[in-house]
Amino acid sequence: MSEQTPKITAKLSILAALTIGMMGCQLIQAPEPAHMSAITQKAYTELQQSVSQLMGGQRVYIGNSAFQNSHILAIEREPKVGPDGHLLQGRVMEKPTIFHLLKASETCILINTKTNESIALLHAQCQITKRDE
Amino acid sequence: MKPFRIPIYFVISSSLFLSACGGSDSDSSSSTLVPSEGPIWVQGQFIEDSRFAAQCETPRVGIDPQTGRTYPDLLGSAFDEKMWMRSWSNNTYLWYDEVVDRDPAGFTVANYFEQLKTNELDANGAAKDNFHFQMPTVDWQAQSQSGTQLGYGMEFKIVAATPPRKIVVAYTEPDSPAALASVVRGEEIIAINGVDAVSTIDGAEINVLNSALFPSDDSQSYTFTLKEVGSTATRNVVLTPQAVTSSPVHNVKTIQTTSGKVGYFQFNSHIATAELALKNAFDTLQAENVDDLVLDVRYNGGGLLAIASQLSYMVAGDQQTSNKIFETTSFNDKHPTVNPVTGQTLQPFPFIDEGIGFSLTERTPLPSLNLNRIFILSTDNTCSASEAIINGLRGIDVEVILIGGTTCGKPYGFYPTDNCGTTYFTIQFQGQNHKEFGDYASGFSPMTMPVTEGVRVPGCAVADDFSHKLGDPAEHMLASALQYRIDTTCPSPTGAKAFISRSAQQNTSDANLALEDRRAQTKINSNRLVYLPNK
Repeated sequence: MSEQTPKITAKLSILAALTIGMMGCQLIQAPEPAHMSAITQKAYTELQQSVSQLMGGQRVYIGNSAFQNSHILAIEREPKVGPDGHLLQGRVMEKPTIFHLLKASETCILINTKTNESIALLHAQCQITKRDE
Repeated sequence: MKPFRIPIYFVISSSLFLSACGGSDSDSSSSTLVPSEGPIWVQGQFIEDSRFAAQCETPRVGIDPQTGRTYPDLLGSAFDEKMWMRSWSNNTYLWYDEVVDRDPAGFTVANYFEQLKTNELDANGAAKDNFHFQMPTVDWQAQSQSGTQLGYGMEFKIVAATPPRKIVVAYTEPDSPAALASVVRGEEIIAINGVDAVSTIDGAEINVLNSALFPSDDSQSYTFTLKEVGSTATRNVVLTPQAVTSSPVHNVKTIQTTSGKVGYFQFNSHIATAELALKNAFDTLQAENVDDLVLDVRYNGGGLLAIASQLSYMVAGDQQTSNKIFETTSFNDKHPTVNPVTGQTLQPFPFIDEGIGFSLTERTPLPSLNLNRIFILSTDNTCSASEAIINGLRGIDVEVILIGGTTCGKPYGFYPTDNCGTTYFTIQFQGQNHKEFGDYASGFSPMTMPVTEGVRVPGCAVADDFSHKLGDPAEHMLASALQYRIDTTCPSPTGAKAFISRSAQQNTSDANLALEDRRAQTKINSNRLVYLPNK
């Protein structure tokens, strides 16, 4: 894939602090963009529930392809089709909710970039996305 | 209503939860309307909609997942709900002055909303407002991974929705159940689970067809009988719905001609993942140093306007887009400078020349082909944000050559707005290009279109050609673009029959027998909805 690895931003520093909080006083690496290396049903369920939780409990439908090739996951409204067969909302100005998957030490972290809230995924297996991967 | 901040490129149009004002009414304009026993309807006089917002016949309780706050609902009445939508429409509806102000008494809440729109006709005699909807807020709030939907990974075109029906596979998604079953473009669906998809008029059987074509769960497999392309032979494939994540960009390729290289790709949806996919497509075509581009949006019904703007930038480049407007949002004449929904000063939507973080890292510079013309392949499925590309580029004098059919004609938009658990869609704004043009409610039509419908644009009327793969230079629409590029000639129009007019489609007398995606429609109370008798 040709997606570029993003620069580590201040957001990640905050996350690092959060991660330290989650992991006690262990020495950890700064979180880096990551993608799923394998996804089990348990991990998929956890991911789906975590995305929903970070969106206030909204109903969210995701597929097995989430974070498979990218550290970015975009969540949009489910497309709704009108009686004429066209999308109800074909001119969307609402920004999608963007999640990032990061890895710090051995922990996979899901972050809602809109709110900066994050959740450590306990069942996910992720690996750091290499540059130019 | 409380305004909120917006980033430069976006407006948060998520369902707006209007807080109830309650308390004393200090609005002098309402003094004659709000006697001590409560408000009454007086024709032609409108109280601010906030006076009635969230006063519900059945208030919701608990936390609203959209806002993370307690629902604002208070105990009110159906009358309050109707008065809210009446005032809200009068304030924000694009054609508010064409709405007949009727007494809410005698209407249900849903029915009252349905009539809060213009009944005017457009120049072709079709209804001026075809986009007036309502649905439960809980359904409107449902979210999904970009491009992910339950299905088979095959996009089909319902060429004829009533008997004799014609349902043709338009394309498939790579690695999807349909692709793995070797389903290909052009195959016709002639039966599902033994139900005759072409001819049945039985309601229960039509339900089977709709359930299979538009699945709502993954618990059942369906046997599709397909007629092979260019043959009378049939075969059965068993497909089970699953979550399919579609790729918005297909078939990026360069076609070598005697007069240079022509880039081509199929762009199916303005979803978040398209940002990266489009950047990659333009990188490829830029590296190939193409002389022209054929953009295939024949099945693209729109989506994120920001993606349309980025794509248009990548077509035209810095020089042609610098200090130019991609689209301006125009509200009704009560709101010439301020967005009445967000409270923000109206800002033109620019041509976006960098990544905005949907699927591409923010601020990544976008490539461009610096073209001063583009060939666009269109059908009546080419809608909204796809039409914004056509209009936006025409606004900066990039020549748009349209090959195919008339586009859907939706220069409008709305801010879906919640009140008391229902989300309402009423047309609130119109998009205009740099030249302040946005009157294409009947779509854009290629110049040789046999039926006068939309705004005439240079190009050729050509019917969709299911006998060839998309991206095949022999496919009629693409072949016509390549021919027009050489000598500006068009093939003879295929005939008016191939281009069913919009008004004819709306007036079908066999609507009960029509196939349609009712997954959302069952939740939309539109007066144009048709249900089977037993639904």
